[in-house]
Amino acid sequence: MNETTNDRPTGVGAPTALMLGAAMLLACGSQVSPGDAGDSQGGDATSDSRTTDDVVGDRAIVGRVPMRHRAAAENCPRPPPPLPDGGVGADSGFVPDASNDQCAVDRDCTARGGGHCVSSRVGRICTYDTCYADGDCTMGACVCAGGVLGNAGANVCLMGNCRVDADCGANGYCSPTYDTMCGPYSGFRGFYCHTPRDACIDDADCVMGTMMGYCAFQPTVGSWACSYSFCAG
Amino acid sequence: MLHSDRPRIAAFVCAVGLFVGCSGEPEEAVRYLHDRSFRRATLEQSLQTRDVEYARVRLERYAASETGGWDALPEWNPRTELVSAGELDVDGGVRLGAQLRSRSSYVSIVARARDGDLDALRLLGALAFRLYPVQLLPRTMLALASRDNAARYGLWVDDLEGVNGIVRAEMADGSTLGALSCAGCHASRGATGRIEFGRPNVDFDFGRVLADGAEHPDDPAITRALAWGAGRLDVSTSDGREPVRIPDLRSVRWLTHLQASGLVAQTGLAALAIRIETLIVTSHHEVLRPPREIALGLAVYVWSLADSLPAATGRAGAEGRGESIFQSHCTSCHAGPGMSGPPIAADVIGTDRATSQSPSRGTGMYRVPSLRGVGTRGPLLHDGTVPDLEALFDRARTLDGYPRALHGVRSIPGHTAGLDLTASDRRDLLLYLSGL
Repeated sequence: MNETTNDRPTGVGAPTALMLGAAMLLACGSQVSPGDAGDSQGGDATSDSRTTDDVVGDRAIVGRVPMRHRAAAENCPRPPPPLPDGGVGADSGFVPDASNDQCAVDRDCTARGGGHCVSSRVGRICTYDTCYADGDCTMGACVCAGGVLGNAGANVCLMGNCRVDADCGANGYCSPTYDTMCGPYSGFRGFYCHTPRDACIDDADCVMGTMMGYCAFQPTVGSWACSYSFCAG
Repeated sequence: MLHSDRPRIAAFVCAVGLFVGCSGEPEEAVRYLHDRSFRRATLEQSLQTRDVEYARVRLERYAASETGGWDALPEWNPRTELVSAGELDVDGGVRLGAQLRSRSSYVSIVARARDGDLDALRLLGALAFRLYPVQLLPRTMLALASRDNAARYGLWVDDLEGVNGIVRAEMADGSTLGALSCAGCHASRGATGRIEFGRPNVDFDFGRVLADGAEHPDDPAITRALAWGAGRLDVSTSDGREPVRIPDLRSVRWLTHLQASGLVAQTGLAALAIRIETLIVTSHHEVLRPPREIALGLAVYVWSLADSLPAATGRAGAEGRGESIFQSHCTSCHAGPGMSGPPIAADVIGTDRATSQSPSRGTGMYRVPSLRGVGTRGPLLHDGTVPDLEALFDRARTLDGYPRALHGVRSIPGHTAGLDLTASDRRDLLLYLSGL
């Protein structure tokens, strides 16, 4: 699985990352609507006037719309067709060497269509699109490379129980969630409906002492709750 | 800030007596299972300071009332199954999201366990140690793509016991996710070739598992997780700053205090059960709690692991001489049949102070580990920087540039006891300790 994101909060640095994420929502125009901004670029213009129906925990979040939710699906840009000369004309001049880099720019990634050259721990590597629209995903939603969810690599299918808000019923919201192992190390991992049993709506709801957490779908109980990123021990 | 020594001494005596007739344990087990006020009192008595995050969260939420806090969380005992070794041989490797096999089941809680029967609880704990999901895993793991990959990440693979304590667990919507059981970190292959439970998994590189799913290699938290190295992880902070060695659970019965900083006094079986119960609550983000029979069963089982360790006394020859040297040089801290004792100030022991000063769990102290099992434990000290006993008693480790230091440490200060022994005395002491 090569789904990737870059909007990853870590510990006390999380709010900064999330603010940046929110700013990206406003700036980029995308499938994920900035709920309380009243602007649903690319999505259902009426969706952001809806509210959550239930009191969530003891926090005053009635009426809140998730900062991140998917009002409408998005089609990712298709890559340009291969050049007739087999790529020679697109050659960036990259020569593999001992640095472990597989590529310098996207067009060096030619194993199949939709290649992206991205940084990784082992150097710059090629990743490849697995989808361009939700319909390409057997399950889950297609998230575009470089989109507001921040996956800098390729387009990927994210699992979950919804693709867009409408899948969550009237006044429902479908939001992206981080993994819930011991922290959001892996970035966004799926889209899930908010539920009346949620203990949080947004990351900003998750503060414990000096620690900033994040709001994540908890698959063990089927609702959203704050996570604070500790490994078991 | 540490409380009176009396409870921990009582616990120590009782710990030694468990399974050889300490009559208070069944009653304590029943009270832990059925008496909230007892659990609350035990928690308050065991916490050695209230001024750290670990304590504050528990004091606010554990056994605080019948209707609120963690007592009100739903019990979680999902259907689970071991990931089997053969799954690594399938093209693409282990599919953690695969449907559970029909024979998968819950960790069954029998009536005798509910009544506090220690034998029933121990059996329940043995099963839960292998099967109860404690730490959810990413949906996909490179480490599970093949046997070669599993080896690269330090996962043990065993035809009988599965793959590194990894289980599939049923989620609320019927789907499955992978998770680590206790055996993920606290089991490894012993000299006999069999998987030994409680023994630290010194090869397991969990930081690398976490880092693999990350997009940004330069993220400081990812860089730190990678630097943990095999056999270590951070369970205290959200940004990977406080890695500690995976502890040896075989000797827990002998400990007066739990956690590297000695934050929790092991006042009895219930204190350990609460430690385990709350660990599971927080690792699952406070949305559920384990059945208390499982937490207690795990505690009883962990205590029973001490029975597998060699005796501490009665050696002959060079080992006997080593035993005598131990008695004259080491027992001011590592005392009694458990070869353990009360915590010691970090400034006194002189090892790296970071963990003792942790805002989450620090007490200014370090627990004195039991030396039972030290010969087969792997890296030593709370941070796992000393590779073995030989290095612990090597005077050169306190100097810059010590080549055997693990995890990038240039010198390993502190714990100077034994560094001034003669070469022959050191050899005999090492022989004795290696046999424990």
